[in-house]
Amino acid sequence: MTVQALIPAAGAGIRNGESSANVLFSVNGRSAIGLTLKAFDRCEEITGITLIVSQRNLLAVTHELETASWQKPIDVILGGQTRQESVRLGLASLQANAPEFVLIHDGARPLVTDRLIHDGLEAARQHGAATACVPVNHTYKHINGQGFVENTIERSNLVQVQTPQVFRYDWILEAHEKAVRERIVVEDDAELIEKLGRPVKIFPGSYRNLKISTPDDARMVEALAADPVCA
Amino acid sequence: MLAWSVEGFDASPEIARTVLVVAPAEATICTGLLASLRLRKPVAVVEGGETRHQSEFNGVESLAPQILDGSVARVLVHDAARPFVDPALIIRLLQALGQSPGAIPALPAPAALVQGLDTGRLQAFVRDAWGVQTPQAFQAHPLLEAHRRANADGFQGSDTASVVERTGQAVAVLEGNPDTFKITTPIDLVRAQIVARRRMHSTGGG
Repeated sequence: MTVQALIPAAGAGIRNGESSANVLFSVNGRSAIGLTLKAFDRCEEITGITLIVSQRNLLAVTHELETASWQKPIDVILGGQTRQESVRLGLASLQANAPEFVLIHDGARPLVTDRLIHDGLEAARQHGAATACVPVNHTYKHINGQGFVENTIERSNLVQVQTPQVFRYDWILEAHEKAVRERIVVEDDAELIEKLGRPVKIFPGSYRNLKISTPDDARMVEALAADPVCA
Repeated sequence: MLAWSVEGFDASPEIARTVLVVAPAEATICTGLLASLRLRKPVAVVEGGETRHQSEFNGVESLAPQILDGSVARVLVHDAARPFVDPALIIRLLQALGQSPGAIPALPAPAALVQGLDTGRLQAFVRDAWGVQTPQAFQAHPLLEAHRRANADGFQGSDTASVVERTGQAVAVLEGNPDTFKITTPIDLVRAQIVARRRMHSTGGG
């Protein structure tokens, strides 16, 4: 079974800053993206890696690749203006030699584990599409246009999405092509699959699998890498 | 954690007194801890209930005489498990009470939220959600009334604001502070240590 890991590291993310910069945060002397790539490089279930970068971080990422040895083929391609566009370009680059499954994972989440990868693949094998999620611990509300509380969101059924997200290649390619035709813009690939009317299975993610967007987050990853807490 | 929270409010000029609501089994430890801090303002220790909501009700009720005679005009409700209190935020919240019965801090949800836990499949993406924090500030009388009504109705709030919202009163939302996160897991504790180091470093010592 061929599985391609697709790692977006190109984005000018609106919410949490530029992923193209976030992946370069230093974690124990290496960049975050180096750690993320290593996690996929040593995972037996992964066939190859497609890394999507931007002009801004191309040099730094290339340096990271050249100063380590890798077992798996790693393709580096330039992304687009948005994360969605970057992923679409990554998927398009695989058409000539299409994998059966694509595993999409944020470059700025270096603490991805074999367990998460495996569980994602199992869920995708059975259901065609799957996303890691964690339960929600906090109270969320909607706010009206005047800056007052609109309502409190019922949270017993609520989960927070993370990556890895694993999809049948044909499904996710179709979903992205449809999005281009219909000018659908989302921030999450699983949402595009859902818009095709296909169900997306939820599998357990991990609170340790955090996304780096501040220096504190980088220190967190260092501390967690050394400590098996909440594994 | 408790010391950070209590001292954070004690240091704030706007705060006149604190009510600390604790589990009965921990009352002695907490009283001892409070005695070891050099606090400038009175702290009353009140017994909590089975749930956070119940504990909060007990705390608010303990202030009922002062609320009703007008000597307490505004109340801030704060999770003790959020040690990194922002003094500027306290001021902004209290100022907002000039225009509405309630004011709470919140930040945009950091990741996509989805309904789907019960079926194990994505059902619907929840857009534009804001994660609320504490302290949550309220005009005292409306807060007391809202809590008494909730108590009569058997309503359990997920946060203080939800108790007030159900009475139809306006709750303003202000920008929160990422440092004022809640410690609920061992991973949060790891983050708390990093934040504590950073904050102590920038003030030149604790």
